[in-house]
Amino acid sequence: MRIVIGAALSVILAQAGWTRDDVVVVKAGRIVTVSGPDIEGGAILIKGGKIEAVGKEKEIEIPWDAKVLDASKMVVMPGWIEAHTSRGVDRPNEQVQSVPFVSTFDSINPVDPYFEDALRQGVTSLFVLPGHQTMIGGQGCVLRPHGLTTEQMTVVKNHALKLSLQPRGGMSRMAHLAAIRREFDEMLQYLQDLEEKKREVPTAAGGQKQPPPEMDIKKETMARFLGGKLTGYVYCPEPADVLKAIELSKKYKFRMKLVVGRECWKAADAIAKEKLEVVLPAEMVYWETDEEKHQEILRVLPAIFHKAGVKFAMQTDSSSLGTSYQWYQAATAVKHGVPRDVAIKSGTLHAAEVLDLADRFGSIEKGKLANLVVLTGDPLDAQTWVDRVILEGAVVYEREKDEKLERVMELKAGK
Amino acid sequence: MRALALLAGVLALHSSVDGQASEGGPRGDVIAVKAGRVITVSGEEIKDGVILIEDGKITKVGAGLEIPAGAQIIDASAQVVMPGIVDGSTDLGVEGSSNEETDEIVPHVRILDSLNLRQPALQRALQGGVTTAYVGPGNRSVIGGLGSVVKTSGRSLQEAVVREDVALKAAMGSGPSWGNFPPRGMPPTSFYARRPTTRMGVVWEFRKAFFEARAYKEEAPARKDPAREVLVKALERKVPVRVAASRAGDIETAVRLADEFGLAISIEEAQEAYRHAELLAKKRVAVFLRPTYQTSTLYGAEGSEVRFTTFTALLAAGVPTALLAQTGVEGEGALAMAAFAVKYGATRAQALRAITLTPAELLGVAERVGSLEAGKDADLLFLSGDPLDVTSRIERVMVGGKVAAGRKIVEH
Repeated sequence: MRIVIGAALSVILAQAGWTRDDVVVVKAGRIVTVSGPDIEGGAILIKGGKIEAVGKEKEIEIPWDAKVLDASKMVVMPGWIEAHTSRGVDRPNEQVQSVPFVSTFDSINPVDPYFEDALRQGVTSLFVLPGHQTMIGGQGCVLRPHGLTTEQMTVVKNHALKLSLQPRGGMSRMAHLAAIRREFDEMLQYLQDLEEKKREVPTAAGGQKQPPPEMDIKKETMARFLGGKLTGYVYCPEPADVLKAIELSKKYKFRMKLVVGRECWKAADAIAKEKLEVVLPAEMVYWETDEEKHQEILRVLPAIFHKAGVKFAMQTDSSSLGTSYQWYQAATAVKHGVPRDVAIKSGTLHAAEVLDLADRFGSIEKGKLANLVVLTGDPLDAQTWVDRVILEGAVVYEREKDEKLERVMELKAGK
Repeated sequence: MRALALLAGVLALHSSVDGQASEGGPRGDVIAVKAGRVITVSGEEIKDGVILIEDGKITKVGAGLEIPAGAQIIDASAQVVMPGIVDGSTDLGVEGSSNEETDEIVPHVRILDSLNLRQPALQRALQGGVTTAYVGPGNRSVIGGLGSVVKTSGRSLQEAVVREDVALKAAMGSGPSWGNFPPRGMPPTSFYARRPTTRMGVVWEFRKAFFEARAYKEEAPARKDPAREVLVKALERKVPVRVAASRAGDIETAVRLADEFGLAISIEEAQEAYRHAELLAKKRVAVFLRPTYQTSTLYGAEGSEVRFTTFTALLAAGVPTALLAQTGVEGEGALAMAAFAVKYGATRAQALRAITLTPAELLGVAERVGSLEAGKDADLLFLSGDPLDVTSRIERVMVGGKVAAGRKIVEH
């Protein structure tokens, strides 16, 4: 299957000038490696869609058959990563409250403009999960924002399980938690019963051995999750939910990442103590009113979590201009005191680490996928354009060929 | 009383300054701001500039100015100083709805009567750099009432109001008709049977109101009608009409109505104004543009087709254009809009002017705010870096020579 996907991708990528099988060298004015220091006058050697070498231009030997992309007046950085989103799918919240067996793979809409725009903004990996409204909401898929079909877009199918501690309308928190515990307990009981049945090795009348009992496919996902083989993405709208998530993960021994609501900064120390990684809400900076003192308080979540020592990724949404872009979220963090390198990492390497996929992408390092963004200037400058996006070694976005951008940049109508 | 004393204490604390020129006796009313860079907006940028302030007004701006003995010195040598932002269209501080919906024509209602200066939104806007704002009625009535210009820092209306009743609000498009029902099965005067229900109905209500106002003016009755008095002022061009219109057709309609009744109009929202740049220039209609700079969509308010180049197209045609921040977005919305405007083709000077001096001029308050010039209010923003750099932060806001109090930023 993987070979088929790979072959299909090669065909798609071939349309963009070269394929992932080519040897490519990107010459860059500046390389923001993210994992190490920036490299002025650098070059990146790409083979088979992966980074083979990165360094000063004079240190990189350019093979005779290499295709060279001259970005010597540009800045090259790893693609931005969206570590949690529910966009790009048709209705992300299943109405039934416990559906671990469903997957966004079946809901992803490859022609959703969200993917096209993600690419335009230099996002090269997206984790598309079910929404916040379903208790055990199903599995998410890691995608590349390029391809004609969901198969072509998929990097990792069913990468994690989404859970939500947000009670449904009319339900109390205690009832919600009781329902989650019951799901877990019933699953553990089922697994125990299954083991016992296997051990019994039932023999039919007549002395013939029967095949061992198989697991109900509806239960497989949950079994993987409680067996520690599938990570949970647990949405915690309130700080109290963070503590409940920690309690649940300890009792039922599952691995998890937290997708936090904005008030959850109050639980930052508890999160740090457990060494948990979080995905911040898109509204990372918000005002509160101190009613008694008539004072407006600005809460800056990335700064609070950074100072607490928590590794975080940033979400984007489409509610306002700035929050729809990863680079702008990083710039906002810098504006409010987060070190620049941490801000850029949180949208790249740290996001990859939150996804447990940092061995594949998130920085410009040997062995990683060549997911690169070619920028006309500094990554956090509003004046900078994404000039090209390279996905697994192939150019999949070119600004001068972006028809939508061309249209909104027209000076007059009717042209 | 004690609360007042405490407040005064806090204000005094926040207004405290960094130093005092050594010679002479203290002159508390003279402040000298030493800035790493001064963006005056009206003139050239000044490196290592000095801004002299007396009684809340700017007296001098320049490089190497002599600092009067005893003046309080604010050392902003590591900062960039620019004039406070003037937001050309907001509903800041409006308690409840900004739409009076009992009638589709309510020219005599005044937004000032709905203003609550303790609304958090005003304080947030102030900390985001908006020192002056036009506050006006919303888009739900054909003619929605009078808007005013206020300082976001004011503690009393008297202190806050810069200019009262600067514009009469009108709206084209679907705003006034959306969700309305014909009076079927109800008495025609029913509150629930709100009219109009279509775009043509909106235009008719507008025309009817001004026909009647014209007749009223000719009649000159002894008993005054407050609503028609306002419309007569509009007919006499004493009050400009601010028309909310997003789509090209609605903008054209607004211009046609202005011609019909001899009104002085400006267009607000104006996402499709690029289609009528020449017309607007010819008719001397100014624009308060609320741009849509999101690359995820080609469509803006009312299904308008957006162009990122609308701002530059309007300027190129000679249309005075102010940039508006996004509605409902707190913080440095206007600065972000200016940064994006530059990305999409505007010059630095054009973009910065469009959020300060241009709206001040269009609102008729440029003798007081909008730029750093002698004689104007000392409304200053102190930034950590260039205002068009989205990583720069506003570190201090001064209004009328006083550092705005009440801010607390928690990052740890």
